[in-house]
Amino acid sequence: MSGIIADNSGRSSGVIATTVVSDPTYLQFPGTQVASADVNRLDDYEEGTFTVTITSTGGTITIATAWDTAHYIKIGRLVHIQGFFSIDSVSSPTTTAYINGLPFTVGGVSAEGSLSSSIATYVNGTLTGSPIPGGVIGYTWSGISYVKLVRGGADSSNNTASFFAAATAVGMGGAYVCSA
Amino acid sequence: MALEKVTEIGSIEVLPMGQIQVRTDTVIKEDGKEINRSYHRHVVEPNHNTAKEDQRVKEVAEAVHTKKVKDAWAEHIANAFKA
Repeated sequence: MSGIIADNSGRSSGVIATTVVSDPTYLQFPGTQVASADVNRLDDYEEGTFTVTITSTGGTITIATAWDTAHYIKIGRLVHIQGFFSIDSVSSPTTTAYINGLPFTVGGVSAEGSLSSSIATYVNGTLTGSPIPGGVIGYTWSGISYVKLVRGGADSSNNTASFFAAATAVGMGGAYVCSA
Repeated sequence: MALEKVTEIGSIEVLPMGQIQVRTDTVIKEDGKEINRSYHRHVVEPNHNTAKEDQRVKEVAEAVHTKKVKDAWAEHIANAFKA
């Protein structure tokens, strides 16, 4: 089925083609994406959840299971994610902390754009000096499905894991481009 | 009126580097008729442990995650974040 998209002047601005329309109230996409290489074509919409774990270069960080679910909305190749997590326990976490479990692999925008997204992250540690001085920035990389947490501000080191402790609250929100 | 909750693998997608994108669907049925479906997703990378994965995902991983794929993935990860 197809229809005409019109702007508020009544002029048609494009043609929309959908595969299944059971109710004219909605724009329905197939349950399984039919990816299109056409840069002017919206080929997917999906909402869902994903389970997050947090790891560190050394030691362990364990999320409370009641607080380990995040949400995503995928529109074409753009994936918006958001979640709030609470740490249950840690065991001497060192160096870099990672948020794992992204719902889709990160897509490379270009050869230079492998470091493709920054995910706003808030870590309210229970240790002295927390929240982490300079804030936290989450980075992704082409092909992977996790977020690397680094410090912002003057200290842009990777040493974020040691700020995690039991009851630390972690907020995450942002968007990245996936592969299809 | 009988309500039933079913969890099933809704989608398994294999990407060129061997990552497996898995969608798990939770389906609510009333008298056998689907009334709601929600999605939960995760990605199985070539270096992931698949012991707790669904049997179908395990079988796909066993076929896809060859030594060549795992080696290439290890190299990719080693070079990650080196902009």
